[in-house]
Amino acid sequence: MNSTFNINRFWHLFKKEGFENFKRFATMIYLLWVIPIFTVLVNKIFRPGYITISDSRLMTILFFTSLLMVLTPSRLYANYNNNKTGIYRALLPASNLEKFLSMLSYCIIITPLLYFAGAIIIDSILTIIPGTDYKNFLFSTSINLNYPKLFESRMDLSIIILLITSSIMQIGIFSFFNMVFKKHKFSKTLLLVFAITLLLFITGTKFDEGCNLTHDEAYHIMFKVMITLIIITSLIAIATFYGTYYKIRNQKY
Amino acid sequence: MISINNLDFNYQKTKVFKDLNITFEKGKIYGLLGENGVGKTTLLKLICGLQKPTKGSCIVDNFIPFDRNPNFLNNIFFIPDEIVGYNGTSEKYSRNLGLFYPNYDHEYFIKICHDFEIDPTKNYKTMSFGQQKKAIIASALALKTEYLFLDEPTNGLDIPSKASLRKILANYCNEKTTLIISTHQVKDVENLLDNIIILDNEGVILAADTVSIASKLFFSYDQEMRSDALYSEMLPGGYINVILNDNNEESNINIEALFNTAHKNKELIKNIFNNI
Repeated sequence: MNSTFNINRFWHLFKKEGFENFKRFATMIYLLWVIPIFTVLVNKIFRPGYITISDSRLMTILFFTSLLMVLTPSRLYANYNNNKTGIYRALLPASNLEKFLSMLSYCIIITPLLYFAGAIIIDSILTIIPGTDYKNFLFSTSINLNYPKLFESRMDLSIIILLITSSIMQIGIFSFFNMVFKKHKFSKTLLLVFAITLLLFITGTKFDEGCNLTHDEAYHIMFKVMITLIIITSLIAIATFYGTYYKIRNQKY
Repeated sequence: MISINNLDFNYQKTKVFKDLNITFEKGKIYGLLGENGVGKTTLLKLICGLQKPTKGSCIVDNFIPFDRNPNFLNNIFFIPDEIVGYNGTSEKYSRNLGLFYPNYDHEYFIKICHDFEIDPTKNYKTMSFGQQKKAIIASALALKTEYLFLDEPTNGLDIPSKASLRKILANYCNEKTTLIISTHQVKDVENLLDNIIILDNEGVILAADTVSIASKLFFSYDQEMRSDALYSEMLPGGYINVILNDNNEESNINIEALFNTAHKNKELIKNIFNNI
């Protein structure tokens, strides 16, 4: 049997992890599903006549989806680098690549997708129920963030790509530091990300001082910045995912 | 076969093994004995691939354990001292685990559960510690791997379960299997072992099969301490004396006495068994 990747073995691993982790990720998802129902009830009681627009609901769902993506590694795979509890995973007869891909599937696809699909269904049900503060279905109106003309066409595309690469980067960072830190994995990683972001922001504002640019110049510089950020976030994503794989392969117990 | 050659292992600056050489053959049950902290669990972890040697090699059937090749992993199983639980019933857990092991035998799992008097359909979390341990052991044995490593397997088991475990392990072993049992509870596995390995901080004091041990050492139960004894210990009703078996007399090995003899006469025992 192929020792690097075997589809049957991967499927067994994927099923086993789903079965064993079901309670843990289900609790997380249930909790997030309950929030809009709770909000509707609160609004009904304390703010009658209030309307929650579909765009803000969609934004909330997207925020929770990305929150779930960064929470999943430390919720489902917290014991991977634990000297006692981690050995069962390490000794399970699946290749390191299969273990890595299964972990990635749950962090990037399964958990966020399950939440997202459920959240859309709950939102639709709440829209159908008469008397709630939901008046339109999600996606019934297009998101209109009123970008200035400056951000049209290729800038729009670069923003979307940057959103995707930075989301993947976030998962990469949280997966990697889940394998590095032994305790308080999520909070430590969050602090680290926050510190780095703050540092980059301060550096950015230093460069910004004394700039006096025209619209066209600003557009070109912004576009270059976007492309640079896409490259940087992609590189960080690749590095952190490789780091996660490396840690799975070389973790000692 | 497991070959450990010139192996060094350190935990950061703490030296655990230096120039360790041991071979584990198929078809035998090995008892791994030693004081706390001499590296019994570490040795099992090195063989399983949970640790990497600092120097030297550990080879199991042409596999390097630390590579964690699935074709190697599906032929070994390690039951650690501190077991970790799972959600759901033992039966479901065992079935799911068995998907990764080509020789998994579910009927055998049910039989062992029956022998251990545990209900495989009961939720694992609702079992007592002893029952949980038995459920894990039952799952491990049903995988029918060629290499099985048990770290303190009798901890937490009641007296009838210890007897059942001895019987089950004795039946489990065939010409293809290798069992390594690390334990302090030597009485629990006394008549089960084919080979005994005693470790100390400097490495192996003794690694020999029980036939060879019985041919070189004589375990004598007397009313008094003997002057020629390598080790004597007072027991209810007399003494156990361990002496050199110059007259080729037959005796049953008392592992506790053997362990203490080896610790008291390290160099002599090393020379007698020539396993330096």
